[in-house]
Amino acid sequence: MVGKDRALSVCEAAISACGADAAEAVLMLETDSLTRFANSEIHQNTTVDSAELLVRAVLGTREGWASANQITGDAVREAAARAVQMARVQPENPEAPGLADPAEYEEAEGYDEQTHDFTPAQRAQAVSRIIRQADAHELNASGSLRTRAMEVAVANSRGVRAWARGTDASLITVVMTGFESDAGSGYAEAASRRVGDLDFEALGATAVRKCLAARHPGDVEPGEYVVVMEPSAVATALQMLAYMGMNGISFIEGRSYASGRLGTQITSEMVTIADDWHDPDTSPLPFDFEGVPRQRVTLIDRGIASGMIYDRTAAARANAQSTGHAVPGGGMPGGYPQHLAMSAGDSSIEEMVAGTERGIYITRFNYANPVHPVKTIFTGMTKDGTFLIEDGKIGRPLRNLRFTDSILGGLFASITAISRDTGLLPTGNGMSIYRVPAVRARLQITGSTV
Amino acid sequence: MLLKPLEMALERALGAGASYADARSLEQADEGLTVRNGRVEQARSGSSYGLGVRVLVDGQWGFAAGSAVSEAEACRLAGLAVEIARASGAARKREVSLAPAPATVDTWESPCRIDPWSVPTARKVDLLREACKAAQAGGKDVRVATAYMRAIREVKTFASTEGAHIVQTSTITSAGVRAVAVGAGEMQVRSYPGTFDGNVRQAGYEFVEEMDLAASSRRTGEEAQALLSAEQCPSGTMTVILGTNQLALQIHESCGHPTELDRVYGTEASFAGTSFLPTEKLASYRYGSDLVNLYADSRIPGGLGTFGYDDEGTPACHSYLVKDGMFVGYLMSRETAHDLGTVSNGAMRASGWDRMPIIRMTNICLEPGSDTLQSLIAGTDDGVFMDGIKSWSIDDRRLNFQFGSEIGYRIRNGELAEMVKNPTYTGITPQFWGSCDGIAGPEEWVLWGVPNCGKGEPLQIMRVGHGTSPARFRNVKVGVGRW
Repeated sequence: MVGKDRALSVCEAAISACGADAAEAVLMLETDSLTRFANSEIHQNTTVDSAELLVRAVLGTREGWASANQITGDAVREAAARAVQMARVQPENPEAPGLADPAEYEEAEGYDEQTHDFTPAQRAQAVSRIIRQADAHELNASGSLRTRAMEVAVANSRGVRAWARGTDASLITVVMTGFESDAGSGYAEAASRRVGDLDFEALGATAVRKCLAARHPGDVEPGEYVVVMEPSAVATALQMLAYMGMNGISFIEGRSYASGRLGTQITSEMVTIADDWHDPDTSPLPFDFEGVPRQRVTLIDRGIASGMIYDRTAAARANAQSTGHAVPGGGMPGGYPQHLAMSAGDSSIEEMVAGTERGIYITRFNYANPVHPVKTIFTGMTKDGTFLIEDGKIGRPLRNLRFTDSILGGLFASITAISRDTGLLPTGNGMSIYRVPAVRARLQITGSTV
Repeated sequence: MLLKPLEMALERALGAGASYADARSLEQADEGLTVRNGRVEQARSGSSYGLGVRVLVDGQWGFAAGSAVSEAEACRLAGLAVEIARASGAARKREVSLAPAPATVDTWESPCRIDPWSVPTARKVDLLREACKAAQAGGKDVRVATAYMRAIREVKTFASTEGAHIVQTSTITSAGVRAVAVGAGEMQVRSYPGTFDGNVRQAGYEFVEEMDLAASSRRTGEEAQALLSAEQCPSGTMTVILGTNQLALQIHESCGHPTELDRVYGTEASFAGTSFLPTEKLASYRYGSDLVNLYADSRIPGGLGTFGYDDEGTPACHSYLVKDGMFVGYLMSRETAHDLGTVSNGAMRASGWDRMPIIRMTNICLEPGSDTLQSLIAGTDDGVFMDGIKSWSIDDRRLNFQFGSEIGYRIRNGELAEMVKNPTYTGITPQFWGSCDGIAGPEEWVLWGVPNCGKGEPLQIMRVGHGTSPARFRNVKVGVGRW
């Protein structure tokens, strides 16, 4: 971490070195520490300091990009020269939107000193609290505890100067009775920008309890079932939906679920989904990687497709304004949501289960992937705590089940209850945490493991 | 990268109490070009440089990495790695031991006939624009045609406290084209030559020239257009013939991953998953039919999983994973090989200087058989031919899978019939491979590069290779879900 002045001065040096018609520089710094445990012992323990400088040089309407992971004077100048060279060798591009104008940014503090300073010994102690609980029941604990400190600076030759820093911490744990086909496994996860918010004891207890209940799983026939899904499973569905269609260019080109459907009912009226960086418990970032102020965008409002996110490229093509959702280095033209939240309801997991005559309780999904993006069909497996619900009670454990269904046309369209409580879930991306509730809906089960 | 900082790091690690240490630096340059509908979407040049230090202290691992490379920084990283390893001891159950490995001093370089950096960027852009134009001409509903090309050069230096000093230089080249047709709530995609970055090879620009990108792009667009109005793939149980691109994915997911010995031992349990192939099954478990021979080979010229030495300094080699249908081998590290009572077959790889090596695939391949694609089709009364990777999912033990392909054709009475869209198939790994009754010969064997294999925390995206000929599988469930 180098601080605001140093970070912006590196960006300014890159812009100056370009000597181009216009230029932009983004600097991302990160210290990423991770303690990984398996078989109830730590087996990987790492700390990585990294930097990435992205330079965009603009010559007329031609844009060239260069990256470097050193920020010495020579490395910055060399990256700038490469960016100019990449711009020089291409034809003019009249669709290039140019660089962002200067803007005022809202104040945000996503940085937590304790998270930044969390030591390898503290990580080991935290992990040991989970392992001890598994040991007490002769179970096998695995998982990871990750803490990150990040710093982002964006500057361009039009006067944009943006800087923010943040931290995040996340823990996932899987507790198992073994690796054989009839083993039980339980799961817990949590994320926050403050490592102090993570209750390691409670997370361990949840995973152990679920593992013990999940031993000797049985079968269930494929078909459509009422399902009660914990926030982890809902977060995966949301992530898939984002990947399949929350992108301005996909939207314009007819490749998004929302293409041609804005203002129409696309799923249950109980569903409201927004991307909102303001949530103080997530990892707030008030601008995007083009220096555009990040806006709250309601993507689905009470079941109606109501909005789309844009970066500057997508906005120019749609004759709209950027919503501040550009990703670094133009890596995903059109933008991507980093702070998705699904609105809470008025139920609880206990009430959802109690109101289900026969159904399936799902802790989380594993290896989900899109099958058909426009139809929002995805597939994947349930994992680490799948149970039959009978007569309003959680009953016998089930083997991991395969589902194949449409997120909007099937799963979210059939929601009948949403929880009051929401969970913060890690996405794996920097400065990105989702807030999601549990839901009760219907899901097409298409198979099972053996 | 000079060896001096690496040697300083090793010396510092030993002085701080490490019983073993290795240091690995990586210098990487890359150039990527993407042209979309005729316009340059991205022209990017990248450079990175860094050092990672891995240590064993009291039988526990520690790893630290940084991008500011100097002798002082190398020493700081070594000290930090030792501190981290000591912290790992707080939850110690056993001490890590390593199988022996030769302390090699050597250099290695991948084949590269035409240096990609010697080809003018403007010429590359022109080729990609031509490919885009041809793909767009494939149909009125081809809304997006994208052509892309990338070159990477890596120089990796490895040194260990056991005396290894290895420098490896690799040039990686990829190119391809993708056409997306959109109409009336439907979207269909076709890729050439394959789905993941087209195809990727350790080679120079000659690999791009061999693809004949511009000439093949029109057909790619035409197929995307035709898929829009094709019939939906039927649902049912029937014969499936997989083309080489799709079969490469099947091999990757259902053979490559479950034979990774770290998964078997549970160290990926919370993320990538475990395996249905525990050590009790080694040499006694029927994985597939007698025709099925699967192997790992890190020596195949041009393969994405090819190297001189892995990231523990173990030499490249060939080893069987499945022989005559029986499960016979794993992908191993020095640590897991020791625990199994053998020596490593060199599968420890890190995705970058900033990652600790973990067990990864090298080139995992299916040996060719004696059929041809034509004879496989001729021997099928009712089935579907599928190719082009589109969708993939498999359970954590690598048993229940479901894959989707870009394109399918019905097979009736021994002949290819009409095109079908959204083909999917599902099964259980040993049942599926057990149903393999035909594999095409070496003339149709294709080496694919998969540049996006994800595993490990923090996530490591690894480049691996898969070679295969088309193959036939009986009694497979196809057309999954509601359409």
